[in-house]
Amino acid sequence: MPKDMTNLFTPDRFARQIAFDDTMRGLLIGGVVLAILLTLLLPGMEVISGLLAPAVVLGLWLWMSVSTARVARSLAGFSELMANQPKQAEDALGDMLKAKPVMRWARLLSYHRLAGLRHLQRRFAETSAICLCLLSQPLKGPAAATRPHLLLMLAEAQLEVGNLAGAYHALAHLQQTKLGLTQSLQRLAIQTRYEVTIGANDAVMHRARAKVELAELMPAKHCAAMHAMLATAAERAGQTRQSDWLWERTRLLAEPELIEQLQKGRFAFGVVEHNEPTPNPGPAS
Amino acid sequence: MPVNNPNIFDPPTAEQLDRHLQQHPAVQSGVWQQRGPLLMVVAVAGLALLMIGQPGYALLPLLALLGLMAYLSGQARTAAELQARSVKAWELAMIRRYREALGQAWELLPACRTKPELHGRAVSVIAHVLSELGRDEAAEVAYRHLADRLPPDHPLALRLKLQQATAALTTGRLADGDDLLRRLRSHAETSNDPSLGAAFRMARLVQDVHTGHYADAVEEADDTANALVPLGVEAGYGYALLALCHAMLAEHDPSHEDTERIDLANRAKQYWDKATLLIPPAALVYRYPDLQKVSFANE
Repeated sequence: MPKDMTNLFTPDRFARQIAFDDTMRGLLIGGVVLAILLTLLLPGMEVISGLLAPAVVLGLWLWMSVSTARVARSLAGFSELMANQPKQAEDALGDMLKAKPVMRWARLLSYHRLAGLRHLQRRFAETSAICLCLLSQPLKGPAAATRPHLLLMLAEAQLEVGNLAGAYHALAHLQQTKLGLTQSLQRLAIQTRYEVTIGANDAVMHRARAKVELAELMPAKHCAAMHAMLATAAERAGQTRQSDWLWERTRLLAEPELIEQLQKGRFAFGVVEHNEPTPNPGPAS
Repeated sequence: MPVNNPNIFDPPTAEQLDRHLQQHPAVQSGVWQQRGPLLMVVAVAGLALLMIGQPGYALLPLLALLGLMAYLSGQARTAAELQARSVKAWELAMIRRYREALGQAWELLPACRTKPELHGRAVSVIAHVLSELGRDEAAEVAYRHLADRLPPDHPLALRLKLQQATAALTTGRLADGDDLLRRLRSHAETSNDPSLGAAFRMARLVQDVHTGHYADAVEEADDTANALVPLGVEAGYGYALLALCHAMLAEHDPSHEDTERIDLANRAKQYWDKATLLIPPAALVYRYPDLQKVSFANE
């Protein structure tokens, strides 16, 4: 039976795993405190305070560290695997999610990668479910950096499944979130698509020149789509000259097949990468 | 090269950059650094065994364990800070604050020597910025440094070598540029990545302009123009060079008849209009000063 969402993600399984990890971490911290107390309060019980308690704490810590290190190692090369071999990525994720106990950040990062994989596979309902589950958790430590990416995936996935209210909420949260440059560009593209969809043409055309300049920093395909969305909004808002100029640029930025799609108003072009953006500057990047 | 005020950071020369890269090369973490935490765990376990029967020292293993945890989280924090600085440098380069980006990347190099990935990113920011500032000789040093450290047929290595070839051509080392382009041709033509093919066509166009082979560029102009699309707005530079080739042929080639010259001049104007629809004329001329030769570039 192929591994699918039934195996890898259910809210119940996610909650159970988080609870187990938290319990083990609690035991570890409790063990340290207990060992210190035993040493201070029962100085005569050297075997317990000097050997047994540290050994239990150390064993627990090693167990957790080794499984976390395994997950962390898999996480490191996962983006490349996901881009090139999605099937193997699915199997690797299965193994990562089975590991226990792991530190909370490693668990959350594993599910973040699962959301990215589902986004890549265009299984947007599942992407939304995983993102919502993760965003309901306190994201701390290394997992904190995934919050903007989760919100971006959620906003785009909600647009894809036609849930405009969900997309609005994700975009509203994104407005209050500190974003990097690439993420800001992705938010701009998603927000523009949302505004074009609901017919908020004036909002789309607000500071249109600045938006064009930002679009120029996007990859060619996304840049073309952004121009087409602005052109569509300009057309609807009766700004014919602006619209013509934008369509002219669009035609220079996209292949004929893409132009045909854009002219029909199909702007679903997958702006959010499946993994978090990594810098790769260069004229053709 | 003062870096306290990012606005007065002078771009390095090729020699200065070469020296900086040699002084701060990327290195793999040492064995002790990699296995240090594990050795400390073993030491803690040994300490715990030795402490049996000595209640006064029973706290030591636990304290050592806490110290180890603090050390590891400190390492993680340092890595995150370096990562953030690397992203910052890249973002500054993206929004064309080139000198600030260069200053940040220059300072980052010594700090991230033990992190080859971040080191590579810092060098690629330096290469990109130097190329944008027209310091092609120094940019070539950075491109070569990066390309030499990647497997020969790695997609990124191919792209870097293309940029290296372009830098060689623009600095007048035509034979080196030509040699590199010949070696890259089959890779670029068989690649699944359209942007790699587009970058190759762009490099070929630069070569035609610098070697005065305008007729060759004109002959393939339509194909070239279509192939440049994956470059996005950057394709504008290609259209401008095509305009230059048409204009130079129209003005200086006596073998063409008057009607052909008029046709070439019209096509030159069409390509120039396309180019300026994407990129302002001043930016085009800044990147390729040869474009000043085209009469309508000065209008």
